[in-house]
Amino acid sequence: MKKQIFKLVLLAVISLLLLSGCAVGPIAQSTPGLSANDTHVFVSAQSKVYKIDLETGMEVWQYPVDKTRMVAYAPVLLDGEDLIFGDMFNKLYRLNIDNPQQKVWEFLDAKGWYQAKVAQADGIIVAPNTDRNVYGINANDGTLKWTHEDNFAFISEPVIIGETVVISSQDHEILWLDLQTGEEIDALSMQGAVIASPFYLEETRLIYVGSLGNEFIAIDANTHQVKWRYDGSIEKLSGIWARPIYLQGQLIFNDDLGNIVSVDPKTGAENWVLIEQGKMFAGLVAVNEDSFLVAAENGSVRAFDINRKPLLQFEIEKATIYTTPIVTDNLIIIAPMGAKYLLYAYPIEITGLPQWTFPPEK
Amino acid sequence: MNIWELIIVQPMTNILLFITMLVKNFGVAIILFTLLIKLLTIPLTAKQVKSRREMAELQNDPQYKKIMEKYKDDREKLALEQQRIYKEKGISPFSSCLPLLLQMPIIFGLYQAIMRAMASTPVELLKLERLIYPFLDVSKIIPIQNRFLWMDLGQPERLYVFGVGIPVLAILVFVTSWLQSKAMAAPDAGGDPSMAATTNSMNVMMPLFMGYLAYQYSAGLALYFVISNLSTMLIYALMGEMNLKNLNPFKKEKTTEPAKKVVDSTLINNGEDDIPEKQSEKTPVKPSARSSAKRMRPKKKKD
Repeated sequence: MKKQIFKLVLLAVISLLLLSGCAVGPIAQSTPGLSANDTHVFVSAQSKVYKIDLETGMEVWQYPVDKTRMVAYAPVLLDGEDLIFGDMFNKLYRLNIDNPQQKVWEFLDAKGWYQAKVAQADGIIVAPNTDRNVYGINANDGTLKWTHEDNFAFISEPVIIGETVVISSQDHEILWLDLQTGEEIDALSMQGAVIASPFYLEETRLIYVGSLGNEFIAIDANTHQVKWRYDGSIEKLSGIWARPIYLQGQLIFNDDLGNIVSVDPKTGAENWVLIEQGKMFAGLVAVNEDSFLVAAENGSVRAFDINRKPLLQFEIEKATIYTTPIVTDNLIIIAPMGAKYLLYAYPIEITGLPQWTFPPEK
Repeated sequence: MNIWELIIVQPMTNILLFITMLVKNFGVAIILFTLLIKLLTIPLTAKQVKSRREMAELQNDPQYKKIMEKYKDDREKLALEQQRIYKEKGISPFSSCLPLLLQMPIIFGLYQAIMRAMASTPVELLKLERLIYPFLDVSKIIPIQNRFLWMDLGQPERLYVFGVGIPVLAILVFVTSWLQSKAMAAPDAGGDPSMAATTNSMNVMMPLFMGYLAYQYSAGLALYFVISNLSTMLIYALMGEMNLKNLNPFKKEKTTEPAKKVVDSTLINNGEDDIPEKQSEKTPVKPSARSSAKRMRPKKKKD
C-alpha cells in the first residue's frame, strides 16, 4: 500500500513538473511585426526579434540569443537608445538598441499577450494587452502607473494626442483615456469591432478609423463626435483592418475585399475608388509624394500613383502578406508569410527586384 | 478554402457561433455544442459498442475456437474460415472501426471549430470573419466574449490563488482522461504483465499528454476536453460499458496460473478460468474485444 501511495505521489510530482516546466508556450497565428529607423529594420517573428542593417540586409543581432523562450509578433517601438516590445509570454521588454542583452527593464504584470505596438508620450508607455487591459507604464523604470480594463482583448496600437490616449476597442468602440491616469474620458460607439488603429491627422484635427461593421468614419479630435461617415459609391464596405494613409491632400483607405477608396479628409467626399483589388489585410503604404503601394494577401504587390494609375506590379512567390509594408528613405520592406524569406527589401524606385532578402539569399 | 474547411469546419464553426449568439456565452456554447455533437454521434457510438460486443462474444464461441485451433498453422485457411464464420453470424470485423472512423472528422471538425472561434490575433479574427456565413451578421458575432467563469477561453487557463497560477482545467483534463481510460478499460487489466504494464502506462501517459495540451493551449479547448471526456463516460455508462472497479487506484492486479495451452496469443481465449471470480459468480460478463484479447495471453505466476 505504501509503495502504491509512493508511486502515486511520484506520478503527481512528475505530472506537475511536466505541466509547469515543459510547456513551450502559446500557440497563435500572427503576423511579423515591422519597425525601422534610418539605419536598421527590426522584425519580430515567432521566437526572435531581429535587428537588420538596412543597407546590406545583414543581421546585426537577434534577441534572445540564448534559449530563453519568447514568441513575439508585436512591432518594436524605437525610443532613442532603446526599443520596447511585448511578447506572447506576457512580458514587455525595454532593451538597449545596440546590445539587447542589456535589459533596461521587464514589465511582468500582464496576464495576456502583447499583439500590438506600444505607444509612448510624456514618459508613459501605453501597452495594449489581450488580458483586456491597457497598461500605462513608467518609461524609465517599467513600473505600473495605471491600468484600464475593458471587456475584450486590446490588439491595436494606440495613438496619443496630447494628454489623451485614443485606442480601438473590440467592444465596438473607440476609447479616449487620460494619459496620466488611464481613466476613460470618452467612448464612441461603432457598428462593429474596431481592430484597425486610429489615424490622427494634425492638419484636420480629425481621427480616422474603420471597423468590421462596414464603416469608415472621421471623428473630431476635440469633441469626439463623428465628423463624417463614408457614403460613397461602394454601397457596402467590407471589414477594415488597417489604417488609412494621407497623400497629397487625399485620405486613402482599403477594406478586406480590396476596395481602395480615396476621399477628401475634411469632408469625406469620394475622389476615386479602385474596386476589389484582391483580398487585403495589410494597410496601404505611401512610397513617396506621388505613389502608394498595395500589398494583397496573395503576395501580389502593386504601386499606383495618386490618381490611381497603375505603376508596377510584382509578386512574391508563395507569399501571403498580412503585415503592412514599411518604407524607409530608399527601401520598401515587406514581411510576408509562407515565402522563402522573412523579409524582402525593394528599392524605392520599384523595380520589382529585391535589393536584399533576409536571411540573405545563398 | 479547401474542401475540408468547406464541408466540416465552416458549418461546425457557424453552428458554434450561432449557439454563442443564442446563449450569449462562449463557454456555455462550447459545452452545449460538444454535448450536441456527442448526442448526434450516439448512433455511431452504439454501433461501435455493439460490434465490439459481438466480436468479443465470438471469441468465446466454441466453433470459432475449434477453427482457430485447427488452422493455427495455416494462416490463409484460418483467414478464409474466419471470413466464413463472420458471414454466417452476420458480423463484420471492421464494423467496430467504421463508426469510429466516421466520428473522426466530426471530432476533428469540432476541435477546429472551437480553435477557429477563439481567434485572438487580428489575422485569426480575419480568418474567422471569412468563415462566417453571410446570414450571420459578422459585426454582431465578432468579437466573441471569451470570458467564462474565471477563465479567458482564448488563453491558457490559470486560476490565481495568492499570486500562484493553478492550471485547474489542465488538472481536470488529466483527471477526467484518466478516469475515462480506466473506467472504459476491461475489468481484467491484469494477465500478461508486459501487456498490463503497457496498458497501465498508456492509461497514464495519454491523460498526461491531454493535460499537457490543456495546459499549453487555450482554455476553450481544455473545456471541450473536459466536457467531451465526461459526456463520453456518461454515454458508455448508459450503454453498460463502464467498469467502475478499475477506478480504484489500489486495486491489486489479479494473478493466475499460466495457461496450459496457447493456441493464438492474439486471438483466442484460452478458457474461462481467468474471468474475475466475483463477476463469473454473479452475472455473466460480456467481455469486450479488448478484454478478450488480453485474456488470451498466457499468464505468469508472480514470484
